[in-house]
Amino acid sequence: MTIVELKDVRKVYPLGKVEVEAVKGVSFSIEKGDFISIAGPSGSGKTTILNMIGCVDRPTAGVVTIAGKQTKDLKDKALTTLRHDTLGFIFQTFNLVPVLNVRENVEFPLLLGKERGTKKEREEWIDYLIEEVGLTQWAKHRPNELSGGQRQRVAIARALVGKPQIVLADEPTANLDSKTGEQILELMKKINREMETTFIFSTHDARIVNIADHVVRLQDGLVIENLRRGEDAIAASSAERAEAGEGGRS
Amino acid sequence: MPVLWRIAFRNIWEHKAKSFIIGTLVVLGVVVIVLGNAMIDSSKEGIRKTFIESFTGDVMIHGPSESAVSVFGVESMDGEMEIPTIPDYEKVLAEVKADPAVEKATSMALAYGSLALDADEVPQDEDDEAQRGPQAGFALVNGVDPATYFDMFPSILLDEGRYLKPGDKGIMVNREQLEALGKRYGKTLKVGDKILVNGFGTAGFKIREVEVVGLYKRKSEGTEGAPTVYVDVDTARVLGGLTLGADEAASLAPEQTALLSSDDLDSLFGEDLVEEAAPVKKVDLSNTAGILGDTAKREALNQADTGAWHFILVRLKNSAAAPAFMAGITGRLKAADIDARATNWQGAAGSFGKFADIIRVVFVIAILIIAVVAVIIMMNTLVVSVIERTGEIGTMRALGAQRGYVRKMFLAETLALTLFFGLVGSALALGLVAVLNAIGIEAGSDLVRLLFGGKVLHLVPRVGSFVSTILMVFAVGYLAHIYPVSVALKIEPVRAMQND
Repeated sequence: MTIVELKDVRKVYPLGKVEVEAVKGVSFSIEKGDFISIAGPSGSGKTTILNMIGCVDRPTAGVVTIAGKQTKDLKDKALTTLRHDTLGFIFQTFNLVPVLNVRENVEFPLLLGKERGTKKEREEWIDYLIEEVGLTQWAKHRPNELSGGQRQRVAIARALVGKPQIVLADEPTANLDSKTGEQILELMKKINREMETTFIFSTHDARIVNIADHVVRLQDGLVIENLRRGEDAIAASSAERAEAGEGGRS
Repeated sequence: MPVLWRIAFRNIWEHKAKSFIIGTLVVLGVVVIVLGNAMIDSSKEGIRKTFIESFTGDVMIHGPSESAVSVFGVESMDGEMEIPTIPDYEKVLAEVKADPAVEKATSMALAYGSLALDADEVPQDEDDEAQRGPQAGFALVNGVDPATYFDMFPSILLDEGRYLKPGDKGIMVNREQLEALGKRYGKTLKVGDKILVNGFGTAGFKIREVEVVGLYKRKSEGTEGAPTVYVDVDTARVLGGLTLGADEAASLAPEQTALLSSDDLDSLFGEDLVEEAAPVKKVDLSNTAGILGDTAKREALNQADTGAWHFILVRLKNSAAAPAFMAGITGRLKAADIDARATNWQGAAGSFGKFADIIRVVFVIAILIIAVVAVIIMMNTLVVSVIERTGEIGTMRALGAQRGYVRKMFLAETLALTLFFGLVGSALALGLVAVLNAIGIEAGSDLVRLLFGGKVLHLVPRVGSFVSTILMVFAVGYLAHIYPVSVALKIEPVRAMQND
């Protein structure tokens, strides 16, 4: 079941009087339960694509469909609701609310929308997530009392608390040491298996690329590879198509 | 506690520098407003009590006038001095006394004058002049009805001698006035001595010699300096021009009237104007003496108009009922076709009654200026805070916080900040009030005495003052947060993904 679809997506940023085309016509789709890595060097457009999938940015052209909804024509309020109900975010710099403790940070997204379930159910769910990320003893601590790995675990629990269909992770291991990074990846993979949550990574961390079951490689704003583990390239990359004279569209 | 308030209170604690700047402003603002209001309230209450108990009563009835009339006379910018008398006085007094709200009422006539002695007061030299003090000072000559006046104003106490009695011809002055007068003339004056009162006004210059029957002093603080003397009403009437001759019309022949309206100087001074009389060959001095010696007509014209009163001063059973009483008496007098007016103590006190209000207006303007400055400083501080928290706001937006949530979060933070420091400021203001009251700062001048509402500063802050101050601080906080919130609302969720 396709949960994310990008069709001929372009993104142009104004840079002074010049326009910079960060994404030059990208098309690919993501299936529910995918553990997908959008990989590529800096400036390849991976974060821009992640932003558009995360509904925090809009494409200049093309169509982004998230859980059956095209984002282009949605107003800010509807986009915010879509983010809240469908997406979870894990940021490179963790982005926890500094004045809230671990438990409150995990709970925070639940307080932004309509209440789901009973209070007891919600509290049990939060406790379960905190336990899953191994922070039960740290539940009352503030982010500044935690290590980088612990903070990222909080961010993972926060991303999952709303039971989103998709979790977006922007360079989740970039600010962690290798051992902690591996632990975090194992945790996310475990959640992916157990909860069938779709994980979408923007990364150039080879470890993520290695454990991903779907890899989309970008270069200069174009898809140069779109592979599923154990399969051949899903389709010719947009770069190859561009070379074949199809204007980079797939 | 809702997460919004949790975030608000914790942010206040976490961002101590910002909170300190805003908090200091709020605390200072609250202290200034509460203390200022308490002082103005005390001043107003002091003035109100003083005037009601010593000069005006709760309500004053007076005659018709284009200008404002106070118990000190007509307050006119164009030099109008003539104080209107109450028309149909007896009927008006009867109407007043018939009102069940009235506790006491008295009547008064006012004249302006100065005190003097029938003696030489020429100083020998400059030193002597300085030693003798100033010339006899200005006096507000209150012609009173002794039967009711001193009963209505029990704050006028007897220092020496006796009160004026009905039918008396006499004057009551205070000790300072008598001593100053004696010093000027190099005499020691005492109760029983006679002094001159020089009256002046629209009816001209009048002099009356009256006996000092008693010395008065005042119980009310802040009124010692008032240049008031109390005389029998007829003396005041004569000094103030309320004589039978004052209203006598002169009858002019038609040609004399025409002459008055002429602007032809030749006709005014023409030879035919003056009728030449035949020369008198013999002057009969006995006849002249007879004509000049007959003062009956002059005395008749100078006789006091016994029905003339300037004011009826009314003390009500309940001072708060003054507006209702004024509305009622005004309606009844109008129905009886009597053009007499009623004013409350503040109107009767004239510019003194408006003193506290004027001070309050100045104070409010000053507070508004301070508030604008406070809004600007708070706004800048909050904008810096918003910029510092761009990533946090972006993250919240990315996680699904609507713009309304961000708006509420900053509003909660601003209101929590202003409420907390508003309460701190209130507590500090209360403490300062207690300290100032305990110290008992004394007024050094009449103006400060008026401001303090008595000899010693005694502040009584009202609950309403605290509530209005907190509301004002809230308003300042609300205004100050509008622009920073607009900045915060422009932060897109994509900022959460930016790592700078």
